[in-house]
Amino acid sequence: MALLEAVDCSLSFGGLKAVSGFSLAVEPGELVGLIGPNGAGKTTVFNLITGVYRPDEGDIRLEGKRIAGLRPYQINRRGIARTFQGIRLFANMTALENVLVGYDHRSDHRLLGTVLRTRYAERQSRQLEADCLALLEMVGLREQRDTVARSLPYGLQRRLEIARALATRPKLLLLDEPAAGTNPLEKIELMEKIRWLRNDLGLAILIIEHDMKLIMQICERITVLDHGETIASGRPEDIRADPRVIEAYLGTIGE
Amino acid sequence: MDELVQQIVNGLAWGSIYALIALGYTMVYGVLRLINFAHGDVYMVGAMMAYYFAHWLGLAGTPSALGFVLVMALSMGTCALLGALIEFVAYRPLRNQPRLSMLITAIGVSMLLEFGGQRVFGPDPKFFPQLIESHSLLARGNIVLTNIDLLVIAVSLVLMIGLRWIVMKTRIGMALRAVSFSYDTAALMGINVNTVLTCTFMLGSALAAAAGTLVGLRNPKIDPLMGLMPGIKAFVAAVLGGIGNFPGAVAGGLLMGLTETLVAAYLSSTYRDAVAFVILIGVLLVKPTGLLGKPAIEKV
Amino acid sequence: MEAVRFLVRRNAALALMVALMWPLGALLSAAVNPYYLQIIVYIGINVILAVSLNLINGITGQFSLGHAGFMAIGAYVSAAFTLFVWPSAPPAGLWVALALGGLAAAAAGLVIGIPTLRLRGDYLAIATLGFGEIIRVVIVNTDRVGGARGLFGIPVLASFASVYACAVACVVLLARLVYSPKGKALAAIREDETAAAAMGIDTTRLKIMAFIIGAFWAGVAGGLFAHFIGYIHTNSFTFLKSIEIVVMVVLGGMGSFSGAILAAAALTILPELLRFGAEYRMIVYSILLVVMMLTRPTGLLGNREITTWLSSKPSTAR
Repeated sequence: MALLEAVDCSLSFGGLKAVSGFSLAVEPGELVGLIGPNGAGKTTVFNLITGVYRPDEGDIRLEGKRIAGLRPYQINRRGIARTFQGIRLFANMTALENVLVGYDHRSDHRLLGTVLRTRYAERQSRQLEADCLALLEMVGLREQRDTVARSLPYGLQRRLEIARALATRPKLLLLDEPAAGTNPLEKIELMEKIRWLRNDLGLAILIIEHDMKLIMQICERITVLDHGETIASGRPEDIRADPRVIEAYLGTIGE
Repeated sequence: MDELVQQIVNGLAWGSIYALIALGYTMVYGVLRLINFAHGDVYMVGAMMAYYFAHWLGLAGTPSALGFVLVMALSMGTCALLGALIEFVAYRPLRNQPRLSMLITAIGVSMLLEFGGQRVFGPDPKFFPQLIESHSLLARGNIVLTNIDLLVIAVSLVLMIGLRWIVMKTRIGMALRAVSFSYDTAALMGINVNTVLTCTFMLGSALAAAAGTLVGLRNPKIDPLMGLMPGIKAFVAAVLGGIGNFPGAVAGGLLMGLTETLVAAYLSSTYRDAVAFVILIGVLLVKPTGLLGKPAIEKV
Repeated sequence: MEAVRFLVRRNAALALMVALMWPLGALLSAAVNPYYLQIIVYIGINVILAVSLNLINGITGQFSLGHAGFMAIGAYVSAAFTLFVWPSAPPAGLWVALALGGLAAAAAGLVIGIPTLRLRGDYLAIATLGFGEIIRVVIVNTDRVGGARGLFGIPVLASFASVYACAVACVVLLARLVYSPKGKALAAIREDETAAAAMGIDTTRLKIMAFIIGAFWAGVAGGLFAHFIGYIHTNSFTFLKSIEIVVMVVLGGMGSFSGAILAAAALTILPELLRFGAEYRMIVYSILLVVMMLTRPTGLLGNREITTWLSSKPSTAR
């Protein structure tokens, strides 16, 4: 059974059909790419999967169970985490706090215990901090634990967003343009990191990217969107040569 | 039956007033996404200014249509300037701050106008001069329809048509619509947003002043806190019609006036003021974008 | 049993601080002019109001303009209890009355919160304002609790001690909440609600929780107010009162406890200093508000506490 399965999803905004007939399956531990020209509907697909939007038609299932129509926090708790196209960190909170917020909902914190300072609550609190520091360590941000997110350099902010997403212990991670604004060296580090996330943590990863080289190098499968429709889907080498894909990006010869 | 007609006319008269004020709210919200709390108080200043102009020009004793128009025009002009001043001093500097800051400032300006007004105009109610002589047009039993009632409705209508003409047929109106639609795009297209904002406030404030003058004519007791309730009710009317939507503001205003008057007449007069809030809650819970508004989609 | 002893040890400091309020109160009433003592008590009540609103507005970022409505419910319910249900209550009856007032306000918070917390920013502000006014209008029209005349003869059971005991408890308990992971989740909602939801936070539930807790303490403050003065009238619980509390939170810096406390104290004392004209007080107030937003919109302390401000570590801020 596929980890994530989107079947024939469509979404319209008023008169505009943003996504039409979208289908995708992601197996556990698979690295899948989602590409297409600007405005093709890629982030909209992410929003559909994570529950920000509800599909007008079609179905989305996680581990066989329907998630279309659930609220975003519910979908996250079932195992899908994401980063955002324009980084959406909790700007005025520290790096550690950002990760903590992602991690916390899984621990069974009781309000009364927190407020009255029961021993159980205190113990939970310490464990929480330790676990979150470990997550920061994973992305190399341990030193910056007390730095306010807003003050972090762009590259580190991207990393923090990933750490925060990881804190929610997902089975599927959605990365929205993780390489945007990175230099070639950082891109290599990013690719390694993404592979590590899949190999060591066993995550399935779905990536939206504009950097062709990166996508071709790490993804096992790629789906191409244009104007809300899937125009191609398959292995990187097939996509690279597909005339429809080339046309979507560059226009037809003779135009 | 006759009473019903009377109440309907009352409702339409108040409704026209609310509509004029609501247009100001909706215009400002459309361009700035700000609830201009101070707007109701501009209406009060309008009434006060009309009162003073009438006295300074010696028109208080002698009713005349011309005098009335003159006084109203002066009041509208003064309040237009006031509106522009408020925008320039209190809202413009906060354009890049979170909207909450502007909201709080708006509350501050509103309070300043109210309490300042009490200081400057004196806290006691004044009696608006009878600039137009009241003739009853229809008198049957307990019912009295006066020319003033109809005047209020008629003048409001004229002003609203005037506003529509400005918004639809002039360049500044087009600019205003552009800014309402998308602030940043309009700026990028070379529209001087500052000018548009100033004009928006001037237009809205002028309408509020007209409303104040008309109310002075119809309900002569005016005081510095008179803007509080009508301001809130007009705002609710704007929300009811769909905030940011001009025909909505008018529809909302008229509906508000009618509902309120009919409830007060037939259900309970003590709950008159509560009607506005009940409508508000109802709208926000059922269809926050209002009767004629379109839902705004947040880009994620 | 060890767990209980742990609990006791952890809360010993809090219990001690609370208990200290009684001897302190006795000392103050002997040493201080009753007029000043009254102002001090008002400060205590305003601190509870400001800190509880801070939880809703400053920490969770929900702009509520109806806090006075919760205060009113607390005042009237607790007063109705000591007047009609248990008129011969001993001083300890105050605590029952306060609990009831607080719970009634919390219930109102739940009822109001569920529908309105779906709304954003300005709409939420207006909706809460509307509810605050509806509450007031309903009370004014309820003759059983005095209606437009007000409610007289409430037993004066509250004093410096009870007010400050509640204030201390309120501040400490809310601070513990805010600095806990749940509190961080609330702050996350303020920072970016969409992102918070994407990270598994049930934003609606937490917003309502903050609302209910804030409402509870506003109700307690209302009950204390009623039982300190002995007479209440809906004129004390208008939109204007809600604004005053909002000003305290904004002036102190939204999200800052020490800010809210300082601002509550400052803004309670200020009108007393400006005694020479009640009209001037409100004019000064409104100018203060506008000037403050224009010059330092983040308030005196921003969203930091006085401890971090004093030690000025530039890159760390809560």
